[in-house]
Amino acid sequence: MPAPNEPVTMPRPDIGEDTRADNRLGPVYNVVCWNDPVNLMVYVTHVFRKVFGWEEAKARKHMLEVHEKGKSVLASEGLEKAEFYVHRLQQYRLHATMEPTE
Amino acid sequence: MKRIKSKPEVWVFRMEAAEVSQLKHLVGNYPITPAVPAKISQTDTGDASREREQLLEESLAAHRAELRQYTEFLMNAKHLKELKTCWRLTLTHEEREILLQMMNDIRVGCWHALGNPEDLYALNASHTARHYAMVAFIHVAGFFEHHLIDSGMEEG
Repeated sequence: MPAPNEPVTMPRPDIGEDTRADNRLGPVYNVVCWNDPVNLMVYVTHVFRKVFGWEEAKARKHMLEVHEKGKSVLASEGLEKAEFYVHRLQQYRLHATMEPTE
Repeated sequence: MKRIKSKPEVWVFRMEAAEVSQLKHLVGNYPITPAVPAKISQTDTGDASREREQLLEESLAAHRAELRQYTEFLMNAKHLKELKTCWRLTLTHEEREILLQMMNDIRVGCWHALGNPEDLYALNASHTARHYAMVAFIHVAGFFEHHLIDSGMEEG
């Protein structure tokens, strides 16, 4: 339990330092990948590695989250970067969207 | 289909004649199905989001057109060569990625054309020959996807 004058550290989703948004710059969007029965698990992992530059383990973890929980938040970004990721993911034909965080 | 050689940035696959025939058929008919409307958000339905959706659709159409430009190129004699007892497919890293995207576009496109079924294996007597053909495309494209991805993972 932190002292009253200490900042409280809140847990954050594992989306990587390079994909965290700066809230001061404007609205933040979650880049979400949704489950579907047609994209192969190995393919989804491959795409996450390609688009986000992740290691196999991290890409696989998010793929399993999509598979088991129906969706995974892959990144939280400002408008332009979130849009960029959604374009890239959909070019690979994954079911990905950007959702406002507020 | 089996990967037989790796050089920096190049993959070489040994293929049977039947596999080559299937691959040529898929690539030659790419994209097989028409584009489907793109959705950029599940919750944001404002005007700005609709504009972004329009941009996304244009981007996806341009990407598909770009992939289509490679259909003849990837199946030419430089990439696909007949040997005495088999065929040899040679792809750079970028070409492998393009072929992979084509295969998955075919899979997803056929799935949409079937009405987004949850069970890809559910077939019955009421289904048409077109339905069976779409299911076959999904599975054959998946076969090539598996081999193209596994070949890349060996490099890691």
